[in-house]
Amino acid sequence: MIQVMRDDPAVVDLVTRARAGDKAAWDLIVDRYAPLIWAVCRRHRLSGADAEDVGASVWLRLVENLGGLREPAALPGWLATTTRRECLFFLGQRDRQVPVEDLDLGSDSGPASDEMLLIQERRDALRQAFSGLPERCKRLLSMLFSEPPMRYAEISATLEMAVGAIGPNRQRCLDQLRRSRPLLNLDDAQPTGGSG
Amino acid sequence: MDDSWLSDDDQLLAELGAAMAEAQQVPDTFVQSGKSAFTWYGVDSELAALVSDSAAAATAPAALGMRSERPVQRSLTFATAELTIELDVHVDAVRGQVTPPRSGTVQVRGAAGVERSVDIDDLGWFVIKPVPVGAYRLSVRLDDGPSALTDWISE
Repeated sequence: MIQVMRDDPAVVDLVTRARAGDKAAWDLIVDRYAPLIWAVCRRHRLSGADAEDVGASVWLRLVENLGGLREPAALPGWLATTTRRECLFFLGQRDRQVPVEDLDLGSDSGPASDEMLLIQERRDALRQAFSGLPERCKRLLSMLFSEPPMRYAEISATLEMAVGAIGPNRQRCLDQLRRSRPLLNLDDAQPTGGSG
Repeated sequence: MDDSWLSDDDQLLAELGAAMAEAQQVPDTFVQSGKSAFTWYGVDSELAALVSDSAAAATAPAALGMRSERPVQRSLTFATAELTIELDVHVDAVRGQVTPPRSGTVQVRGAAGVERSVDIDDLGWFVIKPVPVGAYRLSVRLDDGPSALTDWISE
């Protein structure tokens, strides 16, 4: 089983502040990890009001356990595991005739779950890194990854940037993203490949 | 670990786009209910116990034939060492009074968090209208004073 123990000082700081009763810190935790909880719900094929019920239960559990969380840096893993349990409990309540063991939903320690947590941690790090970029980089990259992608001529007109400068700027902004603290932290914590 | 998602510009951009799109798919209500959950933090330390409940007694006000424009369906009293919360459940609303009388706030909390918040006036009176649906608890916070969370109240 892959252990992702990213020692993210930002998470530790947020948990510490929330423990002291700081509502703003709590809101930042929710903003940051709501996509993780949502993704786990979706993976269990829950959406809409069902997913919101599960999400509310997960956050209440975190409120209850905030003081006793032994490893604040492991919060993403704790949230993923708790959400999985709440999803299973919800599905068990809803479909009492179907034993939980018979539902093909993966287990807490399965490779699919670990991989999913890795992907979620990566996406969280990407969002954190993106939010720290200069405004011009954010605008340029947003236009480049939008669906459907904007044409260079359109980007050039919107950003008042020469078409020929878009490519170099794209590269520069992505380099800055790579060198950002959230992605460096993530890279340090990733297990290295088995075959070297 | 394959790091090409990070080293390759196209892959990094695609991954970034996926991360941002994923966050945008999360409904606002989902995020809001998570934020409101924090109002439960630390409140479990001041539980107001049920002291009396007319639903448990044979002589409920309605059973005595008392009639008024707003007949009381049920009367409940909760108490902590510091304050008392008296509730009269009517058809249209829950009317309550807090002792010692002081202004503050009452929150109605369902399973998913805070559903409503109403003011307590200077005399300690408050009105929750309409009557909450399903099981709920009341969290009372007096200005510069004690706070309390009642047991669950259900029909």
